[in-house]
Amino acid sequence: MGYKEAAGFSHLPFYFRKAYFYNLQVRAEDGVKYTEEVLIAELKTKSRKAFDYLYDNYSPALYGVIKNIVKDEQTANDVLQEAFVKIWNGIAGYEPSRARLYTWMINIARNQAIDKLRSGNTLSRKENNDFIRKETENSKQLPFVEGIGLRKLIEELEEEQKQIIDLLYYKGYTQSEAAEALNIPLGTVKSRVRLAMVKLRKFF
Amino acid sequence: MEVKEIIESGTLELYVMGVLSAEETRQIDNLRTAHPQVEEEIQRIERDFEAFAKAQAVAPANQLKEEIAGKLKFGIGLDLDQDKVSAIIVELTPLMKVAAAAAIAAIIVLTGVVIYFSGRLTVANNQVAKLQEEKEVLLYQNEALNKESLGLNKQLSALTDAATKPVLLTGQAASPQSRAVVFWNASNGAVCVNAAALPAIPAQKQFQLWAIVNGKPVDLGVLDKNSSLLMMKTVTNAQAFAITLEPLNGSPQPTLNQMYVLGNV
Repeated sequence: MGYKEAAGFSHLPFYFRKAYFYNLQVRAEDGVKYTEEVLIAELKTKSRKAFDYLYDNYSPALYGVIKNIVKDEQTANDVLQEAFVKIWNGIAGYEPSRARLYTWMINIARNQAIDKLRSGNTLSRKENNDFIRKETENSKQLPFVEGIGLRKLIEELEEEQKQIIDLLYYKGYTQSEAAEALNIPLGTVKSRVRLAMVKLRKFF
Repeated sequence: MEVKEIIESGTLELYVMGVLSAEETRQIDNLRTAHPQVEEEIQRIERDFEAFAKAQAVAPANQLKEEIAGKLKFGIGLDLDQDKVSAIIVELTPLMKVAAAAAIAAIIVLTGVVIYFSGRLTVANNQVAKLQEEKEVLLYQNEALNKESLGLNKQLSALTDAATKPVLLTGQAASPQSRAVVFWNASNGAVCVNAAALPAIPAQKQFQLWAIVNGKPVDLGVLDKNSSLLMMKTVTNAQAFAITLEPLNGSPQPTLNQMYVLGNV
């Protein structure tokens, strides 16, 4: 009843993407790189095939981010597992209009890793802040571990931009927490992030 | 809020990282719906962060995949053909299927109802047309009856006029049982005959009425049917009336042995 073909959904208004109106069925060639819509359709069926595709193509990036947050390999393994469970459970309610699938997954992985980091962290937030301030004052050491592809990228960034990325992205600080930790106004937090993004764009 | 300002502020980067407050997140949700440039920038930032994540990719240990798969519940996937990515088929959810089925059922039922009542309407219209026709026929007949009635009234007036004399004609040798009545108005000469009691006659014959004036018979015309009242020719000075059986269209002189009835004034 009521089949309609469409090559893609990006042109549809958000309203029509609501899951309760329609289900997506997909015809696709095996081995072909799925478009986002195709992948989402397959994912919502929670098939083993969907998991395979997701894990094979996305787990390295997720694992890399997780590892840069929690550092320890065993912990990273646990977090990756927890992240996939969260992704799997959440896929039914995933709405493409809110965020791209990849971004959505990365944020789940990041949040899971940050939660893990905090639960294991015996230092209070204030103590943490002091620690960071001392660290960054003392050394030019990069706050986060570089991936191979990241090296050139990082070199582009100013010290302060690296700091802000570290706090917000890898340590899950809020804007105000970051502002407090670095002793800068809120607006500066935002503008530094923006500058970092503008610089990073050159590489992507 | 200037769109350009928002984009340059870094707020959208924080939005993508998910570090904005619930209130701020809601604000951007609204903004991106209202402004396509904001939506575009958000998507661009997302892609940038995805590339950023990819740049730090580290392959997890091999056995981890199955360990993780073991923790997940799998459903039946889509039946993927070897066809190229040709189409994304949109199928209505069960909810919408029920709604669609209900809607279609409702339409069918309503169509049925409409057809039924339209049939009734046609029947009703036909009945109306038929009744119209009948009415017209009745009106026509009514008019005819009115005319006849008028005619009859006139006749009645004439017959019951003071000057009119009924003359009984009794049966003669040719037909002893016959009777007839002539209504004769001596002042204007009108003659009306009631020949109902005369017997049936063969086809080639006709009754003829005569007035006897001064001993001589005068033709008053033929009777074209055996009815109650027939207007005949006038006669002013009659002493008697008689009816004879003649050939069709009558004779100049009466056939005396065929006299059926006779009466004196």
